Amino acid sequence: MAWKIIGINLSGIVISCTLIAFLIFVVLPSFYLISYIFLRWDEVWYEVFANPITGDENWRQIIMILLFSFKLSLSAVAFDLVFGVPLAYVLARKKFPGKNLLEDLVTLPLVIPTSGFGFATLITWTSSSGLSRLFGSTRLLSMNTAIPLINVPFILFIVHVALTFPYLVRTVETKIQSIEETYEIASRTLGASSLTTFRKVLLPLSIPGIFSGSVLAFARSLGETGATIIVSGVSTTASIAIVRWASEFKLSTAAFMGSLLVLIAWIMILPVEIYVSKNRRSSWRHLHIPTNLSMKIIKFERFLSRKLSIVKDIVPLIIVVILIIIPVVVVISSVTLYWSADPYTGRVEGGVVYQLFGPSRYLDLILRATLTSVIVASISTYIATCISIPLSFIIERRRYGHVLRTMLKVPLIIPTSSLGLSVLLLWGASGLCLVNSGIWMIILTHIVFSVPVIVESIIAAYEGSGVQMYEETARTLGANAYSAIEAVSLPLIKGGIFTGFILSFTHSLGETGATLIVMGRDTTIPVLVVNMVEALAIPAALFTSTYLIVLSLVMLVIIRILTQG
Amino acid sequence: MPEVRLVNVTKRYGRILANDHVNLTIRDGEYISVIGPSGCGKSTLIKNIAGIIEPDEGEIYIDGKIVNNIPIEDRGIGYVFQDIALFPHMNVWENITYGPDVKGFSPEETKTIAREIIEMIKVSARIDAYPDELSGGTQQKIAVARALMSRSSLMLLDEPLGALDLKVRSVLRYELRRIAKALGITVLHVTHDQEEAMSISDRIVVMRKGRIVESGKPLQLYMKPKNLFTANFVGEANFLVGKIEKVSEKGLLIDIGNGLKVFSTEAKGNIGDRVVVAFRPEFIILKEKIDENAFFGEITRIVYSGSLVRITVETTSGDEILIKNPLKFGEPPPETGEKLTFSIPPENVLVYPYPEAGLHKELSLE
Repeated sequence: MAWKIIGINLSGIVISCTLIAFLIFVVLPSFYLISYIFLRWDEVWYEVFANPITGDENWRQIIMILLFSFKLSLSAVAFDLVFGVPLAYVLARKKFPGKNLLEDLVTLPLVIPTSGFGFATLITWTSSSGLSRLFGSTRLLSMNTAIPLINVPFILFIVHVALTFPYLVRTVETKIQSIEETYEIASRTLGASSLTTFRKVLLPLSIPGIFSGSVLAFARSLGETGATIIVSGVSTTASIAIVRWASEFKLSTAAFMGSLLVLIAWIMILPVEIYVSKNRRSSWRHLHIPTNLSMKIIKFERFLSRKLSIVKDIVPLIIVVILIIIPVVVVISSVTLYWSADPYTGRVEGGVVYQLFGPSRYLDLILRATLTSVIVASISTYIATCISIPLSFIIERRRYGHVLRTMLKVPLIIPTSSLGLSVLLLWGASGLCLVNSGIWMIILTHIVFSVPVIVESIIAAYEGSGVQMYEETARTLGANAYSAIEAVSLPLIKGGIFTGFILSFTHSLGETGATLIVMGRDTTIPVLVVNMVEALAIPAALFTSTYLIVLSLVMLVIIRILTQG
Repeated sequence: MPEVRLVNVTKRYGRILANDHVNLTIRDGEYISVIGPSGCGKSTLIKNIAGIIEPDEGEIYIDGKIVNNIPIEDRGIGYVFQDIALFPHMNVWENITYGPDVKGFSPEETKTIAREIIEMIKVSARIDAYPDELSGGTQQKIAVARALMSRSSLMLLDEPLGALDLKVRSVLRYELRRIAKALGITVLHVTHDQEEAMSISDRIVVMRKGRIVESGKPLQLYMKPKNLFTANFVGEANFLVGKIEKVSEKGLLIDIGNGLKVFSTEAKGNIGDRVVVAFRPEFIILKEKIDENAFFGEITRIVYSGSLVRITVETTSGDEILIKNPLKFGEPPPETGEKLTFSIPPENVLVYPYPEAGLHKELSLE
């Protein structure tokens, strides 16, 4: 009896503490930006639409930049769809040697700090130590060489493709894995070729996965900052504009742009969320295709199924190699090339060693940034884990859980620079004035996106291991609610907690966009890469990128070991 | 017309031989069942024929043409799955017209066949209903209709009734046979339910450990199984170990120990051979007095299973023998501890040479 009374109070306290922490650390920063626009509408109006000197110049810039960002993101997602869906299918259905390796390679851009990866891609395509070495010319492309038709710089495009590819591929892969293969076999026995089967059976069934994958990829591309800032050249994307305006103290313009991005992300994700959550049946079957045409399509598919089965497997593989492996290899080989001196001029000042140990003392900066990054990642991941474990239980067990889960999607789709701006405005001098720019504000920012990452990981483990059933069994055997959680549930979801912890730690190590805005005078490693590129200290940037990539590869190996064990 | 012939079909999964040099001919228009314990390779066999998996060795002929390496969609088969596999995003009509659509039948032709098939299957469901709105039995009927729609004359049924309730199963199995016979198609029906196979097949193939143990008409497999494993797997049987004591024109006299002897009308064997004697519990006759092939024992257990009483008797030799007797109205059933005399008709006593691997291993369902 006494237990019961204490029990009720305890669970009440735990739940309310968790919810309060969740509201303050995660929800408030994600929504503050929008309310800021309403609270300070006068300032926004003055700065964006009715500046006495420039008029509505800022507004016109916002429109232009948004249009460019949209074009970039949409074309990257379109590319992802064309090549990512077949790759997802291959990963979900086929067994072949090296499959794990391929999966890891696809996931790599999720783990690699984006500024390091952006720099690697830049070096690969535009510098004399990159791909051009193979072709003999001094440089393959200029930074601003545009792709015809869509008029988007090539480098920017492939960086966005590489960084959004994993979101689409992994989401669709998971969806296809959940669809029983019997449907496909049934379709084949009824006389459909493998391509027809794909179009008529697998595609309609995996539409929810394709939609959510595309939205994730789109949101990611819209908000990408770290790599974009390095490869963008003369182009400006929305998230970079926010960083620039924030650094020029045009806070209202930045906030306006930021909240526009948040709203756009929401407008895109809400219908998809509703669509996906409903048990939908095919909606396009009413789309009538004339019999002749559909016969021609089926014949064509039958022909292609025979001829192109290998092409379908090989092309996505080539894309993965070009987009991901080559940059990583190039950046590492460039470090060795530049190790003692610039290989072309022979000057020691252009070598890695000189820059690290010479008068500019980049080594000190790197060590300092490493310390900052590790402190930030450890503290923010620790706090986020403390919030996430009870939060996951609440999400799974309470009726309002799914509302919390949807709210957790916000930090995942908000462009990171908007998020950083939101945190700056909320906690910083112009808001509550509790924290100054610097390491503590970086930690506060990283907590916001760490919680959803860890919670998703824990929930996956929770739902995959039948925790509820085992816990009920423990209760029938006489355990009370707390010892059941301690002895049964926590050990069962331990893997999920660890994976979430590592994922969030890695994410925090590599984060650039939000950090750039809230860092003040403290610097993390990815930001250091950006600074080095801006200071044209290329050898130092090469070294730091390699350092970051190696660090994240180690993390990837740890994740692999954890998820397999 | 489809005749299916398998020559030395072999399929390995790692070290496991799922199909071990299987040779089988399915005649045109035949309704054939493949039975065997789980893991015996019957599913692998049907998947080999369908092309869902490719055999490592051997050839498969459909209609005299070799079909190895021909993709599933070009083998011209109908396939019904245990887990039904109606496309969840299509309604009944879209499901059953899927085959004709992808094969390029004209819309008029499709409609004609569909009407014919729907009438034959006697589906009561609305054609615009979705699979998840229908009962399991109806779903499977529609899956059968869908497989029949492409007008293929070879149907492969992979445990088609396995996921359904007992009652629905016993009705649907006769439906399957009726439809197959009405359309004159060849059917290969895989099941683990020997009763299902017995009641609907022209011929039954018994498989074990990747090999075909025996094949024959249902009654033949039941009355005169050529093989100890079949005797145990098809129906039930009592097994006793003994030695042939006398060989005569009328049959064999077998000593089963403790002075007890069994007479069988089977003629094969030599004096002194170690043998296994098998007889069905439902052929045992309860008697008043001891005469030929009669035994005496004490009832150790009684189980009522529906219309039957299952009586376990321990004989004077210490062997346990199962007797199945119909439950009769007005006649008090025997009780545990009662003494009982019973006899086994000599023509129902089957004699097999003692298996090298031992009796237990030979009968095992592993």
